[in-house]
Amino acid sequence: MTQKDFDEKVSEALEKGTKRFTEELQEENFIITMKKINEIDKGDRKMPKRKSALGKFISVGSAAAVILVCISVTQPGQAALAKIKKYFEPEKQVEIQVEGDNEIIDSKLQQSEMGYIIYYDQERYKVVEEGDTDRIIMKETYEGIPEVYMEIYQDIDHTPEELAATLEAELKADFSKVNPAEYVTEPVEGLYIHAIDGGTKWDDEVVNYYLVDNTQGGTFIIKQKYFLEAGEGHGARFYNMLKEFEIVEESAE
Amino acid sequence: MDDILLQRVRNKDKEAFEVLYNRYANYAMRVAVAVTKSSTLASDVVQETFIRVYYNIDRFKYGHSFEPWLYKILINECKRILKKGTKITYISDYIETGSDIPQVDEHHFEEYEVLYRAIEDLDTKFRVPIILKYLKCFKESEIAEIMELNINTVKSRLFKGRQKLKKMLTHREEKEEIK
Repeated sequence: MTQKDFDEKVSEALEKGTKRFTEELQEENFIITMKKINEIDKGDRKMPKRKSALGKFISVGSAAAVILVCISVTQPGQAALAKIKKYFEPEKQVEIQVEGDNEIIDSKLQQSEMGYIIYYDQERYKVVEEGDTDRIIMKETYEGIPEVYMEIYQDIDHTPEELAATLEAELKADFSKVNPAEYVTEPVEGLYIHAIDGGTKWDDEVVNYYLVDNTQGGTFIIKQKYFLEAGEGHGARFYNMLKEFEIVEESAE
Repeated sequence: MDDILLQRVRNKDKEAFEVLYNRYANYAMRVAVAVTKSSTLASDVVQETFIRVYYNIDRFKYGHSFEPWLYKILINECKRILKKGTKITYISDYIETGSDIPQVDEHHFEEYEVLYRAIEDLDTKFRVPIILKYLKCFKESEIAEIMELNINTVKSRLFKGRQKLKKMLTHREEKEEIK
């Protein structure tokens, strides 16, 4: 079957498969819709609530949990989840060195539908999923402290090498110093770009990009953002968390 | 899209709203049925969607295409209702679709029915973009806007969705040959 034939068959299946439901119901639905509108206008019924920006922000905080629940009720999801559970503990302790001291960190497994897992420091950070980006942010924020986060997203069409040139050019527009992309094996294997704006004040912005081959012709893009004085704190913590980053094959689906 | 009609709906003209409803409700219902797999849930989705359109039409920006905005509301309603009602089986759906009736013999199905069932079996994340593309002919960029996804994710989900459908069909054909 050619792609065109297949496309036509899918369209035909959806056209015919949904046709029988629409004809009678269309009029009936309009009558009910107008009845509800009239009730709202009269004050007998509440208008469906629209989520506020704050509500949306709060809800994305629990998106990871929601996704886990959604995945767990579907068959392929269950298979994928079972496979992930088989290889990765939900929580584990990770020893890291921060500002010269060794610390034992309680870390939590974050599994993404993008096809990777990471363990993050659950005492200090939380994961927020925004669209197709997973962002690890501070649990508590303080006024006057610049933004700090590590985010992971994916570009399925471009290799790390292809993306590096674009990112370097973009960074050069905003940062006074941009190191050219270099190949690293720690904390992940891939291309690394470091950029800093200024470099003398405590709150000068620092950005690191790690571009990791997603094994399917695309790239996992990991962006770390913090400020100069946080380099040995958040910077080191992000570096150590990233050591736990692993791509999970989708074969379980 | 007729700007005058939209302006009339903005002014809460109910006749204009009925024209708008009649223009878009048929495919809105089809998409909702395909996504929720239930005509009862789909009816709720369509009603709530058009109520939101009626009260929030002033949020729609002039010069933009109306349908992606409408379907963004519709898909969000589908998600909300599916989340709320996944454990409920409606008698009306049972009668209409005959789902879970064991004596149904797939051998007598039309070809499109086999494929439609395969689409229903897809995970929501693959099913929704497939429905938007093949039933509504939305462009990938519009699907990305409706689903609030990166366009690359949409491309990937469409690709994987098609692969899964092909696999399911091959599997069913093989089963038929054995029979």
